[in-house]
Amino acid sequence: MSNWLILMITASAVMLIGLYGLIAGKNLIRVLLSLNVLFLGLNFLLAVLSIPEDGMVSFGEGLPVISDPFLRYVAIIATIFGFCIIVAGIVIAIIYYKTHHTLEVHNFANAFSKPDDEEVVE
Amino acid sequence: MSFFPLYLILSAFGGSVAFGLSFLNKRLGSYILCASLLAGSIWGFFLVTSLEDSIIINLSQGGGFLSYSLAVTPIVLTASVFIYTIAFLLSLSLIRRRIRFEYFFIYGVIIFACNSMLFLADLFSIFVMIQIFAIGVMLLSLFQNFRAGSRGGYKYCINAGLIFVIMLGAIALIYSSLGTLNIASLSTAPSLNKFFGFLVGAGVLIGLFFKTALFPFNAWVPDLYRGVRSHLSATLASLSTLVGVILIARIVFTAMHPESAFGYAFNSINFLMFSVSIVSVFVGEFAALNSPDIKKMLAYSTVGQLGLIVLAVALAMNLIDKPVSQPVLFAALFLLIVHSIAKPMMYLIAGFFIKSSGKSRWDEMRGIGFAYPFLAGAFIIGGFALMGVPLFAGFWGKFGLIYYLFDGDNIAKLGLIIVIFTSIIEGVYFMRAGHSFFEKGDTEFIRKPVLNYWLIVFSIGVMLSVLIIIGIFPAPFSEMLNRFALEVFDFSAYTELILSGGGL
Repeated sequence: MSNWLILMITASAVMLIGLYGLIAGKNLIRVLLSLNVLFLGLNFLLAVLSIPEDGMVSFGEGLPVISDPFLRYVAIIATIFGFCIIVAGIVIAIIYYKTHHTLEVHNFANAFSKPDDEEVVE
Repeated sequence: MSFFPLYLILSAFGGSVAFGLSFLNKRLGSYILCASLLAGSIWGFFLVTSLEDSIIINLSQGGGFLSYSLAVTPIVLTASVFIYTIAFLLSLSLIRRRIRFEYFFIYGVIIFACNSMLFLADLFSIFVMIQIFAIGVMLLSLFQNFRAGSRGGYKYCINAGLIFVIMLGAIALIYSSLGTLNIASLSTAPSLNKFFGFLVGAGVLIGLFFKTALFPFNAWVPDLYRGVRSHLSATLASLSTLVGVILIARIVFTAMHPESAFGYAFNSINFLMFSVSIVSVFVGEFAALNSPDIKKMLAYSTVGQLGLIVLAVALAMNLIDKPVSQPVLFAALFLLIVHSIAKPMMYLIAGFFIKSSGKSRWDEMRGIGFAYPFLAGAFIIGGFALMGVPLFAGFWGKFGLIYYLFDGDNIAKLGLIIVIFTSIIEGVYFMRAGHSFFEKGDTEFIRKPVLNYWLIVFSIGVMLSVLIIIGIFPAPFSEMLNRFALEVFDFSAYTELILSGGGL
């Protein structure tokens, strides 16, 4: 089994762990942490995809042999955005806890719920 | 045109100045934000009148893969002016209000993201702008009401995170297999395997389905739209969905047509769009019918309306080999523009009524129409426009769809039935709410006056006038949208423009 394939399987496994946590998590913070694991797996996958299966690529004769940098650039950008999403999510979860006094997911998992007890928002 | 990037960032710049100066005076920020959006509208108008032909603007951050192109066509520039104008009219409702400083900055940034998405020509840049927009909306969800806003904001956050993974994964796979993310290059790239093409094509489209609030990517819609300020609900329902549908149309017709990289998966992608849009129509319309909360009703109605518009795009895609395809796309764009004017107007009215009455259910607002007859009348006219009642703007879009689909195959006839179905259901819930505004009842709950009454009336009056004028004199508007439909449909000029500029 090639190193590339091992890396691909590892990245996919990390993503699956994150996805499982996202589906099975019962706590808002845990769900966010699972989302973070999913992001890590994705970034790992992007880094692995930037390495061609058959080795490294050259961008011209006489140039040093390097791997395609674009997907690494994508991975860096994705890391930044993933971080921002998680931070925003944690801030929202903290405010949710302060106003609802719970972090349980089942309290608002229903897409068709009618929170008519909540105050009016103009 | 050398200052074009400045035109794009004008709203973000205005928002940051508003943020800075708000420390001096808490009410100054809203004036500066409105001024920057108005300046954007005027500047855009002059750019449209001076732009004779489409141009490409290359922006480079060091060359190579960090350079990207902005494809500026007269029609897309007009859409950008439309975004600035609607954002300006909506933001008038913020004037003199005590709002946290950050609101202006983040709002300016999301308008910048909306505008930029129209001009960008590669999938990764579009993805970046979607994420900037999403993070901005998450943060803005906390500004009005912590209790309801945090609930909607959290749902939006989880949805945005999942979409982030799916769309970026799809983009990475497209780049790994084809070596390009440019929409124009994808148009001429060798075709991908059917299954793989469908997988990555659907991954890209799912990001845009999320932006247009289509089922099943709409779990956040009712809570978020209800939990945030009406100003933001209106922006999301109008501008975010407008950009989402334009991108869907641009990507499916340019980068996913039968001779493109996604050629083998064309039918599967078309089927996916059909399925998602039809389910969205039914879920959105029935949920709106059952919703007593006025903002939730409008939120679900947005899901149903957008489902119908994407269904029309899917029908145009299905009829791609027939001459009727372009007119169907034109009808879809017509409905989209009418929705982008009528829905924010209705949100502003709903927000005003909630503020004035202290109630959020439409069935508890009996008699409010006697206190504010102009606003309640405008709400009903907005409903007429969305339903497609003759002499109101939406009529020409729905009439066009019915006319062109009438002689079509079974799929076209299914689309025809759904168009009629949505009009009936919308009629029931919009008129039911409109009727309750003019029912006699106890009106002591109505509190007067509401801050910015005349500014809100001005914004609503402008949008209402446009809806009525388009309904009575549709010709100039139809001509412009026909050119837009032609530009999307006959993509060769667009791809030549982008490929001449290089970029990613």
